[in-house]
Amino acid sequence: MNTEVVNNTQLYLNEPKMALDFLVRNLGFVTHGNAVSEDADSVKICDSNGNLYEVLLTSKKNENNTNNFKLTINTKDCLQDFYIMERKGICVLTKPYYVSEGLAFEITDYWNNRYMLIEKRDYND
Amino acid sequence: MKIFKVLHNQNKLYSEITTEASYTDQKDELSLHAVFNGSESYTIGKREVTVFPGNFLILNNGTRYDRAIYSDAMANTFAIYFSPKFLQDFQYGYSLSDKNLLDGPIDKSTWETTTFLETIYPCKGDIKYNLLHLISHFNENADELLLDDYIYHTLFLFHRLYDKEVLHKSSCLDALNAGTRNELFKRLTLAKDFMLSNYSQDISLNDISRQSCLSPTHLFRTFKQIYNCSPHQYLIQIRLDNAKHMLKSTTYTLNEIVSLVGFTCPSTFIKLFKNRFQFTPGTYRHHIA
Repeated sequence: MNTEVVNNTQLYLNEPKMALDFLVRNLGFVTHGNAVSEDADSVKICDSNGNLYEVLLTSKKNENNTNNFKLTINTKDCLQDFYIMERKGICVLTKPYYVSEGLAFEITDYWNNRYMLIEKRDYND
Repeated sequence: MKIFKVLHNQNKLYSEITTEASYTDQKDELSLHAVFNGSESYTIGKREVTVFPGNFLILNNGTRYDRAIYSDAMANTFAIYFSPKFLQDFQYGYSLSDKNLLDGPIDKSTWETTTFLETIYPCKGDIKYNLLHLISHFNENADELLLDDYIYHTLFLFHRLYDKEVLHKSSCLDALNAGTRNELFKRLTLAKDFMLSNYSQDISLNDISRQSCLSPTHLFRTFKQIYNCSPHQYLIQIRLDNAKHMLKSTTYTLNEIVSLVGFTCPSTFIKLFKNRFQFTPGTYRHHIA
C-alpha cells in the first residue's frame, strides 16, 4: 500500500476505535503512542514512511453519518490501490475517476465513514 | 534487455532497454510506442519519424513499419499492442450510451474497429502517469488484471487525447468541406512530425513545407490555425521541452544540451528558456528538477 498522507483534519467517526483499526489494517497506517480511549479528542497516526499526523476525532454516535465529509488520503498509485481494495472486499463507492488534481476513487468502511484516495498529479511538468 | 508478455486477453506489452536494435517489416495490431530515454526511429512507408521522450507514436492494425534504435545512451522504449477484441469491446462501451448498451445486444461482428491518425502524440499529463505506472508494474511482473486496468485507462486517455489533438484541432481549420479539412490536417501533422523528429537539425520553413506537401505560405497560415503559433515558434517549443527533459534526466553540460537540441547560441537559449518556463536552465537543474 502506497498511502502516504492524512490531512490534519477533523474526522467525524462512528466508532472511532474501529474506524481507526480500518485505517491501520487497510490503508497502511500505524497508530502512534497509546491506544485510542473512549473520550479521546485526537489520535496520532503514522504513514508508511514514518511521517506523523494528528487526526481529530468527533464521535457522533446515534446519528446517521450522512454528512458529505470525506477523509482525503494521498496515494502514489490510485489504480493499484483500487485493485487492492477490491480484492480485499472493501466497499468501493466509485471507480477511479479523473479530477483536476489527479486520479481518485472513494471507499467506505463498515461504519459509513467515507474516504477519498487521490493520486495527485503535476500537470505543469 | 527485452521483456515481452502476452496477456490472457491477447493484449501485448513490450519493453526494451538497449543502445542498438533494428527490426524490419513489422506488422501488428493497433499499437502505442513510447520512449522514456533516448530515441527510436520508425519508417512507415516513405515516412521517417523519430520518437523522443515526451511523445508516443500510434500505429494502426496492419500498418507495416521498420523500427530502429541507435543511441549513445541507453534507450528505454515501451509498447502496448491492443488486441482487436479488446479494442472492439472498449470502443463498444466508449461510443455507446448506457441506455443503448442496456437496451440490447449489438452484433459485434458488424462493428468496425476505428483507425486513428498515425502520428506523434504528446505523452503528458494523465497518459504519461499511467504509462509510467504500467511500465513499473510490468517490470515487476504484477498481476495481469492490474495490468489490464492500466491498459484500459491508457486507451481511455488516448481517446480523450485524440478528441482534443485531432478531432477538435482539425475542426479549427477554415477549409470549406470535411474532405479538404482532413487532408489539410494530415499534411499539417506531417509538418509537426517532421519537426518533432528532426528538432536537433538546422531545418527551415522550406524543408518543413516540402515534407508536408504544402507551400510555405499555406503551411504558415494553416499551421497557426490549429497550433496557435508559427512552425518556427513550434520548433522552438520542441527544442526547449527537450532541453528541459535533458536538464532533468541527463548529466550533459548546458553547452552540450544547447547543441544537442539544435540551438547555436547559449545566451539565446537561456533567454528563450527563461521566457517559456520563468526560470533559467541552471535554476531548473539545481533547484527544481
